[in-house]
Amino acid sequence: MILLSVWFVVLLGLPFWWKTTRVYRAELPNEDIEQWNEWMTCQPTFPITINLHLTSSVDSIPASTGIKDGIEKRVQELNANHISKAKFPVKFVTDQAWSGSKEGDISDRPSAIPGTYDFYISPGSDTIATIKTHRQGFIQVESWDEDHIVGAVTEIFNAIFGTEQRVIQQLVHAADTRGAEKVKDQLKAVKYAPGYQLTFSLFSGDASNGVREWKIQEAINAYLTPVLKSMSVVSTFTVESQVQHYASLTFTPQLDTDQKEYYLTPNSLPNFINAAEWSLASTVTSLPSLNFLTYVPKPSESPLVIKSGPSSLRSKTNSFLIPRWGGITILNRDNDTIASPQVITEKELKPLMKVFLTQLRDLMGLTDLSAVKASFPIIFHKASNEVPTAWELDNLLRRRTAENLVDSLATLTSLARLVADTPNMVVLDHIQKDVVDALKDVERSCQRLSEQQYVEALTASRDALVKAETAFFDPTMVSMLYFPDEHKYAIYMPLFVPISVPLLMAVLRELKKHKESKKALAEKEEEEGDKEEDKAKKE
Amino acid sequence: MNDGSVYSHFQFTTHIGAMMDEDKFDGPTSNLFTHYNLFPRSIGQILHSFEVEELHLTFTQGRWQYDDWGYPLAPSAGTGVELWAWLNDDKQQTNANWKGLTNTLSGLFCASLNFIDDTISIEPKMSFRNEGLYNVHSAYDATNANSTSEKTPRKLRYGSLPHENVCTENLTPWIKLLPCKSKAGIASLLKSHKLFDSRFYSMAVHVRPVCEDELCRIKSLELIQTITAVFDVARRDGSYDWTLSGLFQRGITQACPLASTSDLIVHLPQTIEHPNQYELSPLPAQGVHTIGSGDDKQEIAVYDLKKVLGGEPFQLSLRWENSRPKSVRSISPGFTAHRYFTGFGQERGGLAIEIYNNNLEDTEAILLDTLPWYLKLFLHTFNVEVNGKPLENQKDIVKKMFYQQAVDRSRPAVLELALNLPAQSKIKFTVSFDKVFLKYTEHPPDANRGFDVGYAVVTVPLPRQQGQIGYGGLDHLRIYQERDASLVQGHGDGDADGKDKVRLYTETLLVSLPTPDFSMPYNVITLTCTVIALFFGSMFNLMMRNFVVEEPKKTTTTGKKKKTE
Repeated sequence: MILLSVWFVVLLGLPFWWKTTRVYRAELPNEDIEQWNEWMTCQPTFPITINLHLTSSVDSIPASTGIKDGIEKRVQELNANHISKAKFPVKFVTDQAWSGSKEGDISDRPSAIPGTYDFYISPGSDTIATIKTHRQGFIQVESWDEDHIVGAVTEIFNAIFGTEQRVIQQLVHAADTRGAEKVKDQLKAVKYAPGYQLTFSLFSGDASNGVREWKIQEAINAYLTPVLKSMSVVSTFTVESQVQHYASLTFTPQLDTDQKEYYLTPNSLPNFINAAEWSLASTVTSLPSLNFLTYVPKPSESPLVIKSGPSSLRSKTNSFLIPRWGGITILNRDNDTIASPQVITEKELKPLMKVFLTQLRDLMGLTDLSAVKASFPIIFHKASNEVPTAWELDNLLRRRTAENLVDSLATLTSLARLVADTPNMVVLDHIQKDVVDALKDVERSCQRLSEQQYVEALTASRDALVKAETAFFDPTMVSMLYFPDEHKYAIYMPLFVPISVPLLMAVLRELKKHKESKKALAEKEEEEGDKEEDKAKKE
Repeated sequence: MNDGSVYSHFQFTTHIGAMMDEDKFDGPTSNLFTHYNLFPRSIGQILHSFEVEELHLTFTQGRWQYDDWGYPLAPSAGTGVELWAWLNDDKQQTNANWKGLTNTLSGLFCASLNFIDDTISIEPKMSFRNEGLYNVHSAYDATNANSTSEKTPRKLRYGSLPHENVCTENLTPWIKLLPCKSKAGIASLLKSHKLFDSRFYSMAVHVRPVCEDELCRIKSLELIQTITAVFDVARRDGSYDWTLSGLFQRGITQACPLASTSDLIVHLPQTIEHPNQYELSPLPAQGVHTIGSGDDKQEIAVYDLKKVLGGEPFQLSLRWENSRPKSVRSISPGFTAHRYFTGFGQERGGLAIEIYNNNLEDTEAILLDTLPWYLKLFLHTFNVEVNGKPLENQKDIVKKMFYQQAVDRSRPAVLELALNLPAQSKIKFTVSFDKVFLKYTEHPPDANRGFDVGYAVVTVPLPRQQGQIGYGGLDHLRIYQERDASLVQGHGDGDADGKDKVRLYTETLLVSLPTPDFSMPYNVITLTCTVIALFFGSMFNLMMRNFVVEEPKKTTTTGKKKKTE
């Protein structure tokens, strides 16, 4: 009886003990995350609308419905080999006729909606396409029949959107299979952030080369500001500049005695940045920073060029790009020919800014459309000063949204897995809230995508990414990670071991007793039986 | 120095935005804080993002001996780290900004500045007045700079870490702020292992807004970086001679080409009776200047490094006759302050602050003392003694008193007194306190060493004694520059009657609080558990066996018992 009551108390205490010593863990929506990873809830859809305007100046107009059906069929064939859950529905509209026939006749009202484009088509001597900076294109086909129009439009469509769609497919696919296979372009571009800090630094190898200041402010205003403005749809930028004197290299460049110049080989370029001495890191901002360095070598090491060997060709721009970090240009100044050795003028900075702009485009992940090939010439209009065109921006919008979605889901997945793998980790309510909100944002973004509202989709995906990362990097998640089990054992052992031994012993003893008493009873019965037998015999 | 040590003081001044006219300057969003040339970007970013108007950060190692050395050139000399800043309070975010500022500076200077949190930051009411002339963040919307500085809400924050050690890792980022780094110019003398092998070492960064002309039409931000070190020359071989290369183990080969002036100034020893005890070589081309007059006369030798240097390292040496000085004039500082603990045991204690006024006239002074919350002050035990006699009417000495009660684990106790120091007197304040028993986790890793309690600061106006070495205030050096010193002093911390406010720092103290045995909790757990387990075990057994023992005559049970045993 006593034994039972003691055991009863102990057993009653166990749940209390369990409850009070447990770390608090809010439930994470693991199933939802799993579903999202398979894109069960919503498939990422990137719709495109194309308005085809056929000229009405020619008498024999091919049947527009026929053209539409033809193109749609061809485009569907192109998209047939899906490798991922991403979808790219294309809608062709052929309702509006076009009164003009030449490129100049195109009305000046470009589409303001990302993802909606206008193609103007008219017959001509040969097939040529012109893609303007806004969301407009002009196609001239050599013969005015359905087949040619369908062929030309399909080819242009593939040229402009094909690469992008392949990249997005791979992105989404990589997320599906959780493979680390990244697309090559992505390695160069920085990870997406809502804002970037651009730091322009002038590094002067030695103060004796005379460089004191540079007109960077003017140069930035002239060349960089328009680009940054147009890209503010995607991310915002803050610009800073600094001058550092006595910035020495960690190594001495090799000397080419024939040319009387010093050179850096491509192998030595990774060591160019003297991270210990050059103060490049920003002390306050948490935005990812992109650095653009101008290095003016000291007189004893100039001119400094980049080439692979003593006799090989020099790098034309004398600059190089460090993926996901920034760009570096070496500026050799001839003190005899320039007017002001102390000041680097805006004119001198112009070629540098051009290089920096190209590097910035690469770092931001803007694809240069003019590189695409087709069976007929496609002319791409370029905005002045390397300002990205609407086509390129739309492309970037779509790709960044896809990236953000994939990244935030990946973060959430790792968070869920981490929490599952670390039973000691505290998961507070606000983490749970962040995760749930992030999932909601992912859903919102996905819906906006399918409605062709790309800007809103990007904003939502950005929110999702930010929330997912806040949850992942929350300081409270780390605090209990290092509370080892050994401590618990050390503290519980002195109490539980001495108490449990007599308890267990008593139970064992009782069991034994019980068994023996049963045995004894049996023996007794046997004895009694024997006695009875004896009695019977006696009787 | 009087005791033969060599005092060296480096001062680097950088200005930003000299052409910042009122029409061009368009507020904090202007490009001033975006494009940097000589002004270090790291400092600029900090000032900008935390809305700092004035920043004073000092790292000090060793104790400045006022009685022997007079007053230092550097304005702050308290052991450890001292940080104080005036923050713009437009957006009521001063506390958040202060926290950000300490954390960022901590990262920049590799120091534990992030430990300056709410529990040790204070807001002095009378000490640490702002030194700058106008308000950077509000200058754009006003025509008169003096009026804006009154209007704009500004908040002072002050914090110090007396226990902080200063070392090379703090010096390296400091040097990085210089335009020429340590590659050229005077800064090339800065070699850490010689600098830290000194009796006193102090390193500071001061940022303050200044005016470039009388009417404050042109404004700029001034960054002053100083390094102060007192070398004990005679320690090695008893000789008081020194050379520049011997002191720093480096030479200056070229002046920093970016600097507008680059001067090296030698304060010649103030000798009496024996006029030609020493020889300085080489003598400067312009000869030796004399500044001050009468008793404060001081001879200095000025070398313009831009002219002196010609590719060869600059050699400078001072030799004494027979390698040691015969007689030098003694320094008698006008004010000194000391502080010590009284009492014994680990339960209560007392604090005593002594201020000496050796001057012949009464002086106003401000005393600021900060005590951590774990010392509970009792204000009713506050006593004032003048020349050893208790004072009946405290109002004679203490004109104004500001006292902030400590709050456990959130703010320190602050005692700020406006004093009137009688001529030639010794004033002693005493107050007693209780020591708090801290929580187990609140003790530092070396708990038995005790806790450092920061210095008290006495701010006194000091007559401008230009000749005297160790005359306080940064403006001393500005006399040799083109800029007119009166421009700064007229608006700044100096009084109109030619007096500068000098801060005296008392000793830092070490207090030992009741310290537990840190293995105790585990021992207690183990012991208690064992006792409970023993008790439980025996009781349990007793109860279980009682049943058996009470009926010993029953044959069946005894038989069973035998079997079980």
